[in-house]
Amino acid sequence: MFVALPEIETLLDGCRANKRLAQEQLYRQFYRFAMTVALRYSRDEMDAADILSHAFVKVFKSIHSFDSSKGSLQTWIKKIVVNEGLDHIKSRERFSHNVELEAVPEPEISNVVLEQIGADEIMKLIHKLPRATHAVFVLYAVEGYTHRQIAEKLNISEGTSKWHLSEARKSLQQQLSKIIT
Amino acid sequence: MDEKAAYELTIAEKLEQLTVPDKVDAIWARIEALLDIDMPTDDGSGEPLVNPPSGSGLWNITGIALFIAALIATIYFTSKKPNINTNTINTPRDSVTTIINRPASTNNKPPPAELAPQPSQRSIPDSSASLQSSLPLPVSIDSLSFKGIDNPSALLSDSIANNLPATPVVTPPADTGKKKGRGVKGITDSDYRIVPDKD
Repeated sequence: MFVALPEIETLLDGCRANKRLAQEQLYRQFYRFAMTVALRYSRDEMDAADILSHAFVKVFKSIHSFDSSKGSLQTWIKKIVVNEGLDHIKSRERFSHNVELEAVPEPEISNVVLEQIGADEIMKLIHKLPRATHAVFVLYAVEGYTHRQIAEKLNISEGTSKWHLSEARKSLQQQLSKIIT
Repeated sequence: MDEKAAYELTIAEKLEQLTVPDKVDAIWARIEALLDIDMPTDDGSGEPLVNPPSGSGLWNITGIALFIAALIATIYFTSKKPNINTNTINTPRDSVTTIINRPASTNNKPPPAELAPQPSQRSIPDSSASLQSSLPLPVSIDSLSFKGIDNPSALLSDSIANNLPATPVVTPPADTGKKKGRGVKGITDSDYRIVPDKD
Protein backbone atom coordinates (compact mmCIF):
# COMPACT_ATOMS: atom_id res chain seq x y z
CA MET A 1 0.00 0.00 0.00
CA PHE A 2 1.37 3.38 -0.97
CA VAL A 3 1.38 5.98 1.76
CA ALA A 4 2.01 9.51 0.62
CA LEU A 5 4.91 11.04 2.49
CA PRO A 6 4.43 14.54 3.83
CA GLU A 7 6.24 17.33 2.08
CA ILE A 8 9.68 18.09 3.45
CA GLU A 9 8.73 21.70 4.09
CA THR A 10 5.70 20.60 6.11
CA LEU A 11 7.90 18.28 8.16
CA LEU A 12 10.46 21.02 8.67
CA ASP A 13 7.77 23.38 9.92
CA GLY A 14 6.59 20.71 12.34
CA CYS A 15 10.15 20.05 13.50
CA ARG A 16 10.73 23.76 14.03
CA ALA A 17 7.58 23.77 16.20
CA ASN A 18 9.04 20.83 18.14
CA LYS A 19 6.25 18.46 17.11
CA ARG A 20 7.17 14.86 17.82
CA LEU A 21 5.11 13.47 14.97
CA ALA A 22 6.91 15.63 12.41
CA GLN A 23 10.28 14.77 13.96
CA GLU A 24 9.50 11.06 13.79
CA GLN A 25 8.38 11.28 10.17
CA LEU A 26 11.50 13.18 9.18
CA TYR A 27 13.66 10.64 10.99
CA ARG A 28 11.93 7.71 9.29
CA GLN A 29 12.26 9.38 5.91
CA PHE A 30 16.05 9.75 6.27
CA TYR A 31 16.74 6.67 8.41
CA ARG A 32 18.16 4.46 5.67
CA PHE A 33 20.42 7.12 4.25
CA ALA A 34 21.62 8.31 7.66
CA MET A 35 22.19 4.77 8.93
CA THR A 36 24.33 3.96 5.88
CA VAL A 37 26.54 6.93 6.73
CA ALA A 38 26.66 6.07 10.42
CA LEU A 39 27.72 2.48 9.69
CA ARG A 40 30.86 3.72 7.94
CA TYR A 41 32.13 5.30 11.14
CA SER A 42 31.08 2.56 13.53
CA ARG A 43 32.43 -0.79 14.59
CA ASP A 44 29.06 -2.51 14.69
CA GLU A 45 25.31 -1.89 14.55
CA MET A 46 25.15 -0.84 18.18
CA ASP A 47 27.80 1.77 17.54
CA ALA A 48 25.90 2.98 14.49
CA ALA A 49 22.63 3.20 16.45
CA ASP A 50 24.40 5.28 19.07
CA ILE A 51 25.81 7.65 16.44
CA LEU A 52 22.46 7.93 14.68
CA SER A 53 20.39 8.67 17.78
CA HIS A 54 22.72 11.44 18.93
CA ALA A 55 22.98 12.83 15.40
CA PHE A 56 19.20 13.13 15.01
CA VAL A 57 18.86 14.81 18.39
CA LYS A 58 21.35 17.39 17.08
CA VAL A 59 19.37 17.66 13.85
CA PHE A 60 16.18 18.50 15.73
CA LYS A 61 17.92 20.82 18.17
CA SER A 62 19.54 22.83 15.39
CA ILE A 63 16.76 22.58 12.83
CA HIS A 64 16.28 26.36 13.05
CA SER A 65 19.77 26.85 11.63
CA PHE A 66 19.07 24.82 8.49
CA ASP A 67 18.99 27.02 5.42
CA SER A 68 17.67 25.33 2.29
CA SER A 69 19.27 27.96 0.09
CA LYS A 70 22.72 26.74 1.16
CA GLY A 71 22.17 23.08 0.43
CA SER A 72 19.79 20.16 0.60
CA LEU A 73 18.44 18.76 3.82
CA GLN A 74 20.06 15.40 3.04
CA THR A 75 23.51 16.99 2.75
CA TRP A 76 22.92 18.87 5.99
CA ILE A 77 21.86 15.69 7.84
CA LYS A 78 24.85 13.78 6.40
CA LYS A 79 27.22 16.44 7.66
CA ILE A 80 25.76 16.13 11.17
CA VAL A 81 25.94 12.32 11.10
CA VAL A 82 29.57 12.36 9.90
CA ASN A 83 30.55 14.84 12.60
CA GLU A 84 28.82 12.72 15.22
CA GLY A 85 30.63 9.65 13.89
CA LEU A 86 33.99 11.40 14.13
CA ASP A 87 33.21 12.61 17.65
CA HIS A 88 32.32 9.02 18.48
CA ILE A 89 35.71 7.81 17.20
CA LYS A 90 37.65 10.63 18.85
CA SER A 91 36.07 9.88 22.20
CA ARG A 92 37.33 6.31 21.99
CA GLU A 93 40.75 6.65 20.39
CA ARG A 94 43.46 9.26 20.28
CA PHE A 95 44.77 10.25 16.89
CA SER A 96 48.51 10.14 16.56
CA HIS A 97 49.84 13.65 16.30
CA ASN A 98 53.53 12.86 16.07
CA VAL A 99 53.46 10.85 12.90
CA GLU A 100 54.41 12.78 9.80
CA LEU A 101 54.37 11.25 6.35
CA GLU A 102 55.00 13.06 3.14
CA ALA A 103 55.41 10.36 0.57
CA VAL A 104 55.22 6.61 0.68
CA PRO A 105 55.03 4.00 -2.06
CA GLU A 106 51.37 3.18 -2.73
CA PRO A 107 50.41 -0.46 -2.18
CA GLU A 108 48.68 -2.14 -5.06
CA ILE A 109 45.18 -3.39 -4.37
CA SER A 110 43.33 -5.48 -6.88
CA ASN A 111 40.14 -3.81 -7.94
CA VAL A 112 38.96 -7.06 -9.48
CA VAL A 113 38.94 -8.73 -6.12
CA LEU A 114 37.07 -5.86 -4.53
CA GLU A 115 34.37 -6.01 -7.15
CA GLN A 116 33.77 -9.66 -6.39
CA ILE A 117 33.11 -9.25 -2.71
CA GLY A 118 30.03 -7.69 -1.20
CA ALA A 119 29.59 -4.41 0.67
CA ASP A 120 29.27 -6.09 4.05
CA GLU A 121 32.55 -7.97 3.50
CA ILE A 122 34.32 -4.75 2.59
CA MET A 123 32.92 -3.10 5.70
CA LYS A 124 34.28 -5.95 7.80
CA LEU A 125 37.72 -5.29 6.32
CA ILE A 126 37.45 -1.61 7.19
CA HIS A 127 36.31 -2.44 10.73
CA LYS A 128 39.57 -4.28 11.28
CA LEU A 129 41.49 -1.02 10.87
CA PRO A 130 42.37 1.00 13.96
CA ARG A 131 39.59 3.54 14.68
CA ALA A 132 41.63 6.59 13.70
CA THR A 133 42.92 4.98 10.52
CA HIS A 134 39.42 3.79 9.75
CA ALA A 135 38.07 7.35 10.08
CA VAL A 136 40.74 8.88 7.83
CA PHE A 137 40.28 6.18 5.19
CA VAL A 138 36.49 6.63 5.08
CA LEU A 139 36.75 10.41 5.00
CA TYR A 140 39.27 10.29 2.19
CA ALA A 141 38.23 7.30 0.08
CA VAL A 142 34.46 7.31 0.59
CA GLU A 143 33.41 10.85 1.52
CA GLY A 144 35.95 12.55 -0.77
CA TYR A 145 37.58 14.86 1.75
CA THR A 146 41.09 16.14 1.07
CA HIS A 147 43.92 15.67 3.57
CA ARG A 148 43.68 19.34 4.44
CA GLN A 149 39.98 19.02 5.23
CA ILE A 150 40.56 15.83 7.22
CA ALA A 151 43.34 17.54 9.15
CA GLU A 152 41.02 20.39 10.08
CA LYS A 153 38.17 18.10 10.99
CA LEU A 154 40.22 15.81 13.18
CA ASN A 155 42.54 18.49 14.47
CA ILE A 156 45.60 16.71 13.17
CA SER A 157 48.27 17.60 10.65
CA GLU A 158 47.98 16.76 6.95
CA GLY A 159 51.03 14.49 7.27
CA THR A 160 49.27 12.52 10.00
CA SER A 161 46.21 12.19 7.81
CA LYS A 162 48.41 10.86 4.97
CA TRP A 163 50.09 8.44 7.33
CA HIS A 164 46.71 7.03 8.46
CA LEU A 165 45.62 6.66 4.83
CA SER A 166 48.82 4.84 4.00
CA GLU A 167 48.36 2.53 6.97
CA ALA A 168 44.79 1.82 5.87
CA ARG A 169 45.86 0.92 2.35
CA LYS A 170 48.59 -1.41 3.59
CA SER A 171 46.23 -3.16 5.96
CA LEU A 172 43.54 -3.56 3.30
CA GLN A 173 46.05 -4.94 0.82
CA GLN A 174 47.17 -7.55 3.32
CA GLN A 175 43.64 -8.58 4.10
CA LEU A 176 42.63 -8.76 0.44
CA SER A 177 45.64 -10.85 -0.39
CA LYS A 178 44.55 -13.29 2.32
CA ILE A 179 41.10 -13.47 0.71
CA ILE A 180 42.64 -14.20 -2.73
CA THR A 181 44.84 -16.94 -1.40
CA MET B 1 48.85 10.29 -2.68
CA ASP B 2 45.93 12.68 -2.94
CA GLU B 3 44.67 10.86 -6.03
CA LYS B 4 42.04 8.26 -5.48
CA ALA B 5 42.88 4.78 -6.58
CA ALA B 6 40.38 2.77 -8.60
CA TYR B 7 39.78 0.35 -5.76
CA GLU B 8 38.83 3.25 -3.49
CA LEU B 9 36.09 4.28 -5.88
CA THR B 10 34.89 0.70 -5.86
CA ILE B 11 34.84 0.69 -2.07
CA ALA B 12 32.87 3.95 -2.02
CA GLU B 13 30.29 2.49 -4.40
CA LYS B 14 30.04 -0.73 -2.44
CA LEU B 15 29.57 1.02 0.88
CA GLU B 16 26.48 2.72 -0.51
CA GLN B 17 24.92 -0.74 -0.73
CA LEU B 18 25.41 -1.64 2.91
CA THR B 19 22.65 -3.64 4.53
CA VAL B 20 20.84 -1.32 6.88
CA PRO B 21 19.76 -2.98 10.15
CA ASP B 22 16.07 -2.81 10.94
CA LYS B 23 16.38 -0.78 14.10
CA VAL B 24 14.27 2.14 13.04
CA ASP B 25 11.80 1.83 15.94
CA ALA B 26 14.40 1.10 18.62
CA ILE B 27 16.53 4.06 17.58
CA TRP B 28 13.48 6.35 17.43
CA ALA B 29 12.60 5.32 20.97
CA ARG B 30 16.08 6.42 22.08
CA ILE B 31 15.83 9.67 20.14
CA GLU B 32 12.41 10.38 21.62
CA ALA B 33 13.68 9.72 25.14
CA LEU B 34 16.59 12.12 24.57
CA LEU B 35 14.27 14.72 23.07
CA ASP B 36 11.86 14.45 25.99
CA ILE B 37 14.76 15.37 28.29
CA ASP B 38 16.28 18.12 26.14
CA MET B 39 13.26 19.40 24.25
CA PRO B 40 10.02 18.60 26.06
CA THR B 41 6.97 19.34 23.97
CA ASP B 42 3.82 21.26 24.86
CA ASP B 43 1.54 18.75 23.17
CA GLY B 44 2.30 16.06 25.75
CA SER B 45 4.01 13.72 23.36
CA GLY B 46 5.96 12.02 26.10
CA GLU B 47 4.41 9.44 28.34
CA PRO B 48 0.65 9.87 28.17
CA LEU B 49 -0.87 11.18 31.36
CA VAL B 50 -3.05 8.71 33.21
CA ASN B 51 -6.52 10.28 32.99
CA PRO B 52 -5.66 13.86 33.79
CA PRO B 53 -8.43 15.47 35.85
CA SER B 54 -10.73 17.30 33.47
CA GLY B 55 -13.01 20.18 34.38
CA SER B 56 -16.09 18.00 34.84
CA GLY B 57 -14.09 15.45 36.82
CA LEU B 58 -12.96 18.19 39.17
CA TRP B 59 -16.54 19.30 39.71
CA ASN B 60 -17.58 15.73 40.42
CA ILE B 61 -14.89 15.39 43.08
CA THR B 62 -15.92 18.72 44.63
CA GLY B 63 -19.56 17.68 44.62
CA ILE B 64 -18.80 14.41 46.36
CA ALA B 65 -16.67 16.20 48.96
CA LEU B 66 -19.45 18.71 49.65
CA PHE B 67 -22.01 15.93 49.93
CA ILE B 68 -19.86 14.06 52.45
CA ALA B 69 -19.28 17.26 54.43
CA ALA B 70 -23.02 17.96 54.49
CA LEU B 71 -23.74 14.41 55.59
CA ILE B 72 -21.23 14.63 58.45
CA ALA B 73 -22.65 18.01 59.52
CA THR B 74 -26.20 16.62 59.49
CA ILE B 75 -25.21 13.63 61.62
CA TYR B 76 -23.31 15.88 64.01
CA PHE B 77 -26.15 18.34 64.56
CA THR B 78 -28.77 15.60 64.72
CA SER B 79 -26.87 13.94 67.54
CA LYS B 80 -26.64 17.30 69.37
CA LYS B 81 -30.34 18.26 69.09
CA PRO B 82 -31.85 16.09 71.86
CA ASN B 83 -29.73 17.79 74.53
CA ILE B 84 -30.87 21.23 73.43
CA ASN B 85 -34.55 20.24 73.44
CA THR B 86 -34.50 18.77 76.92
CA ASN B 87 -32.83 21.77 78.49
CA THR B 88 -34.83 24.65 77.05
CA ILE B 89 -38.52 25.28 77.11
CA ASN B 90 -38.92 28.45 75.15
CA THR B 91 -42.58 28.50 74.29
CA PRO B 92 -43.99 29.13 77.80
CA ARG B 93 -41.35 31.74 78.42
CA ASP B 94 -42.44 33.60 75.30
CA SER B 95 -46.03 33.51 76.46
CA VAL B 96 -45.06 35.12 79.75
CA THR B 97 -43.41 37.88 77.85
CA THR B 98 -46.64 38.63 76.05
CA ILE B 99 -48.49 38.88 79.36
CA ILE B 100 -46.16 41.47 80.70
CA ASN B 101 -45.69 43.28 77.43
CA ARG B 102 -49.27 44.30 76.93
CA PRO B 103 -49.72 46.53 79.96
CA ALA B 104 -46.23 47.83 79.66
CA SER B 105 -46.74 48.72 76.02
CA THR B 106 -49.51 51.09 77.04
CA ASN B 107 -46.91 53.22 78.75
CA ASN B 108 -44.25 52.72 76.12
CA LYS B 109 -41.96 51.37 78.78
CA PRO B 110 -39.90 48.28 78.45
CA PRO B 111 -41.50 45.46 80.32
CA PRO B 112 -39.73 44.02 83.30
CA ALA B 113 -39.65 40.67 81.56
CA GLU B 114 -37.27 42.07 79.00
CA LEU B 115 -34.70 42.37 81.72
CA ALA B 116 -34.67 38.63 81.94
CA PRO B 117 -31.70 37.01 80.31
CA GLN B 118 -32.05 36.17 76.66
CA PRO B 119 -32.51 32.56 75.65
CA SER B 120 -28.98 32.40 74.45
CA GLN B 121 -27.84 33.32 77.93
CA ARG B 122 -29.94 30.62 79.52
CA SER B 123 -28.07 27.58 78.49
CA ILE B 124 -27.53 26.13 81.96
CA PRO B 125 -29.07 22.71 81.90
CA ASP B 126 -30.85 23.13 85.23
CA SER B 127 -34.33 21.71 85.25
CA SER B 128 -35.48 23.87 88.20
CA ALA B 129 -34.28 27.02 86.52
CA SER B 130 -36.01 26.14 83.31
CA LEU B 131 -39.16 25.35 85.20
CA GLN B 132 -39.00 28.71 86.96
CA SER B 133 -38.48 30.52 83.73
CA SER B 134 -41.48 28.80 82.24
CA LEU B 135 -43.76 30.24 84.90
CA PRO B 136 -45.21 33.80 84.76
CA LEU B 137 -42.90 36.25 86.43
CA PRO B 138 -44.26 38.08 89.46
CA VAL B 139 -44.98 41.72 88.85
CA SER B 140 -44.79 44.13 91.71
CA ILE B 141 -47.80 46.40 92.01
CA ASP B 142 -45.72 49.05 93.71
CA SER B 143 -43.36 49.21 90.78
CA LEU B 144 -46.28 49.85 88.48
CA SER B 145 -47.69 52.60 90.70
CA PHE B 146 -44.27 54.20 90.79
CA LYS B 147 -44.50 54.58 87.01
CA GLY B 148 -47.59 56.78 87.23
CA ILE B 149 -50.40 54.27 87.11
CA ASP B 150 -53.21 55.22 89.48
CA ASN B 151 -54.80 51.88 89.94
CA PRO B 152 -52.22 49.35 89.16
CA SER B 153 -54.10 46.43 90.66
CA ALA B 154 -57.03 47.10 88.35
CA LEU B 155 -54.74 47.45 85.40
CA LEU B 156 -52.97 44.27 86.25
CA SER B 157 -56.18 42.38 86.71
CA ASP B 158 -57.48 43.72 83.40
CA SER B 159 -54.32 42.77 81.61
CA ILE B 160 -54.35 39.35 83.12
CA ALA B 161 -57.99 38.91 82.28
CA ASN B 162 -57.35 40.03 78.75
CA ASN B 163 -54.47 37.75 78.35
CA LEU B 164 -55.81 34.65 80.00
CA PRO B 165 -57.16 33.04 76.84
CA ALA B 166 -53.89 33.72 75.08
CA THR B 167 -51.84 32.26 77.84
CA PRO B 168 -50.83 28.77 77.01
CA VAL B 169 -51.18 26.14 79.61
CA VAL B 170 -47.85 25.78 81.19
CA THR B 171 -47.19 22.26 82.07
CA PRO B 172 -44.06 21.31 83.86
CA PRO B 173 -42.02 18.77 82.12
CA ALA B 174 -43.22 15.33 82.77
CA ASP B 175 -41.25 13.63 85.46
CA THR B 176 -40.23 10.46 83.92
CA GLY B 177 -38.49 9.34 87.09
CA LYS B 178 -40.15 6.69 89.30
CA LYS B 179 -42.10 8.23 92.16
CA LYS B 180 -41.18 7.16 95.58
CA GLY B 181 -44.07 5.62 97.36
CA ARG B 182 -45.33 7.50 100.41
CA GLY B 183 -45.89 5.86 103.78
CA VAL B 184 -45.68 2.25 104.58
CA LYS B 185 -47.18 -0.29 102.34
CA GLY B 186 -50.24 -1.98 103.72
CA ILE B 187 -51.16 0.84 106.14
CA THR B 188 -54.00 3.14 105.22
CA ASP B 189 -55.35 6.30 106.85
CA SER B 190 -58.01 4.31 108.61
CA ASP B 191 -55.31 2.51 110.49
CA TYR B 192 -54.27 5.77 112.09
CA ARG B 193 -57.76 6.72 113.20
CA ILE B 194 -58.04 6.61 116.93
CA VAL B 195 -61.33 5.37 117.96
CA PRO B 196 -62.05 5.55 121.67
CA ASP B 197 -62.98 2.31 123.11
CA LYS B 198 -66.56 2.07 124.10
CA ASP B 199 -66.96 0.68 127.42
